[in-house]
Amino acid sequence: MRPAARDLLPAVGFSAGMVVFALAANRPSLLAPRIAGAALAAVCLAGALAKANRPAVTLGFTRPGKTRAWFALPLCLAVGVAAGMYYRTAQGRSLFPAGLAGFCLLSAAIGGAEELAYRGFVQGQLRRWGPILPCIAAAGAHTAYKCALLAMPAGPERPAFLSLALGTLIGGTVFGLMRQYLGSIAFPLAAHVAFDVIVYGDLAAAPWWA
Amino acid sequence: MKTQTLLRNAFVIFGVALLHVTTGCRPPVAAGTALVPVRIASPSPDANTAVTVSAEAPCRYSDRMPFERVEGNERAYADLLLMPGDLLPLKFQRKQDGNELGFWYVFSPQDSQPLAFRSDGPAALLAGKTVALDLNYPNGTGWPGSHGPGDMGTIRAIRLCGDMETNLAALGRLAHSGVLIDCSDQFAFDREGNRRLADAIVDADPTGLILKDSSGLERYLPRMKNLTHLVMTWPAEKPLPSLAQTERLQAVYLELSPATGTQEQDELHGVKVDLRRLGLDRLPRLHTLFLYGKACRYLRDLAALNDLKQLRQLTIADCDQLRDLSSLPRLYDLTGLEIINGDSDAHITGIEHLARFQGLVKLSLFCKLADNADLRVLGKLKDLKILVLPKDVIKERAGDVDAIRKALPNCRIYGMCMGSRWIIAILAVGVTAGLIRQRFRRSRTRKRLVAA
Repeated sequence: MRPAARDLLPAVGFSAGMVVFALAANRPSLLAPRIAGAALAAVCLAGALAKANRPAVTLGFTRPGKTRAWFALPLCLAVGVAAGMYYRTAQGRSLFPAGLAGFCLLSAAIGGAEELAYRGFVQGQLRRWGPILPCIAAAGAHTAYKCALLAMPAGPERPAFLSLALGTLIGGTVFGLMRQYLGSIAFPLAAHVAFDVIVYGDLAAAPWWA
Repeated sequence: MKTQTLLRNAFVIFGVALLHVTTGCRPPVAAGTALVPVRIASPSPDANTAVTVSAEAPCRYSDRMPFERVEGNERAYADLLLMPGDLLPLKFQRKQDGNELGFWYVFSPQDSQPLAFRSDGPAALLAGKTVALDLNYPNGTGWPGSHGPGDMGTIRAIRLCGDMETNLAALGRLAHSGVLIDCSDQFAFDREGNRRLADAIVDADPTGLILKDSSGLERYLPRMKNLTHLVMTWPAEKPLPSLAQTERLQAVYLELSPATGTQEQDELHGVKVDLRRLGLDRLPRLHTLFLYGKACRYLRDLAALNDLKQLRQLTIADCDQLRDLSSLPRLYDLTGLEIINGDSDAHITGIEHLARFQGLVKLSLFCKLADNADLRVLGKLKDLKILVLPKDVIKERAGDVDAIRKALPNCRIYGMCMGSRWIIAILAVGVTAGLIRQRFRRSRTRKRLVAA
């Protein structure tokens, strides 16, 4: 297999598997597609990591320079916190969560996992195609997953898909650029976790999509 | 330099996108139904004040299950599905001192959304105007004396306290205001000392009255000509009062409390509740009836509701007799029907009878269903927009639920969701499997090298 295809196929397979899983996630009767989607994603991830010389690097865990870490990490955290504050204010909520409740840890873990999956794995697999294209492609895969997950909402909210897709695509691209230019998955991961903690930290129970 | 410019532009675009998402994702009014998704937000007056919202029965529709009771749920907001005129019990609790501001709110779609209440001591403000006053709040008794007619004039709901003079002074300033009055703190209005208070309540010409755990005020109800909302707890052993003379009543929430304490004792005493005594058939505007409470098991006969042709929303909770849905009242014009029997082991039969309720927009069956219940019949309810079934029914009868989905593509079916948390498991499995496989590969390669 050509090296380009060897890098591309796991990323495409993982993204496709996650979309299939997300589409079937809200339909208890679609157990087979749900399992198949999850299995495809896990197999593609496992296969790529097994062949990698340094799996941690494949997921984006590189050690940034000390200076860069000292300056960039607080900046990324601040970006995540600021975005979270803005999101809360726009929803008519207080600027900060009143406290940290039961869903806080889970929301942080979900945000972190999304970063590892898309900015880490998918973007890492595509890095031979230059600095910008992998960021956009990974953000596109993330957007497809998000839209598929919210395609069958169980709650009264009906997400505006155009806004949701645009927001995830642009936000994901920015997170991707963080990884690309700051040199490590730790930066977008920190920003995403900070955003999720600020936005969902005070939820005692998980929202319907979680 | 080029990288910095790129990053700066990217952050600006990110901010614009967030703005677009946050303003575009607001839940719209569901077309074709009277149900309105509403967010009740509780912004802190300042960053150091933590306020939480909790809501309790009777009419609680949460974002996860339309009538899930979220008592003591500490959140800064609550997503609800409401119909105009729905009564909402709200509580705002300050975490620092535990002080709780409680009041009842009648949902009006004209109020700007999200419903961002602000608490100012014992007062709740909406869009800068005082809409509710809780005299039970610490130092709440001094509030009416220290505020002018401008503040008192916008009050829609007041909660009375244990101090008679404060109540009388506040109600004196709210005469003929049509305010909703919450006297749910065990007032005995048949006592001599409380009659002045009862007269003051009548003089306020209330549009809403909360009579939980209070007694004696029912005699005054015929004098409250503008009463539209009534929440009442009633002991099952006492004959129900007649509401026939309060002709403007639109919504009645009746909680039937246990009579003599235990079910065995009640049954021994032959406790029966006769709904006919309420005279609901003489209330032309009654559109909502909520029957709940542990004593609902003593309801004599639901056929007493057959004449309530004007009724649009009916909720029956904790009613053990309702084992066969063919015994439901023949109110085929209902738009909302909820049957809540979560604690009962009875398996409900006769689900096919529901096909006659062709006007239903919202149907909640929060009860155990008989194994042979034909769920697919619900697919015949063409106007249905919201269907709530227990999670285990959704799981076990997935084929039937899918058939309903196909028949009613615009209907939301609430139950379970395997959400985004599963990405964590998928990632963990993939990474672990990859690392194990890589280790095997490496050890095999090493062995080959050693062998070579």
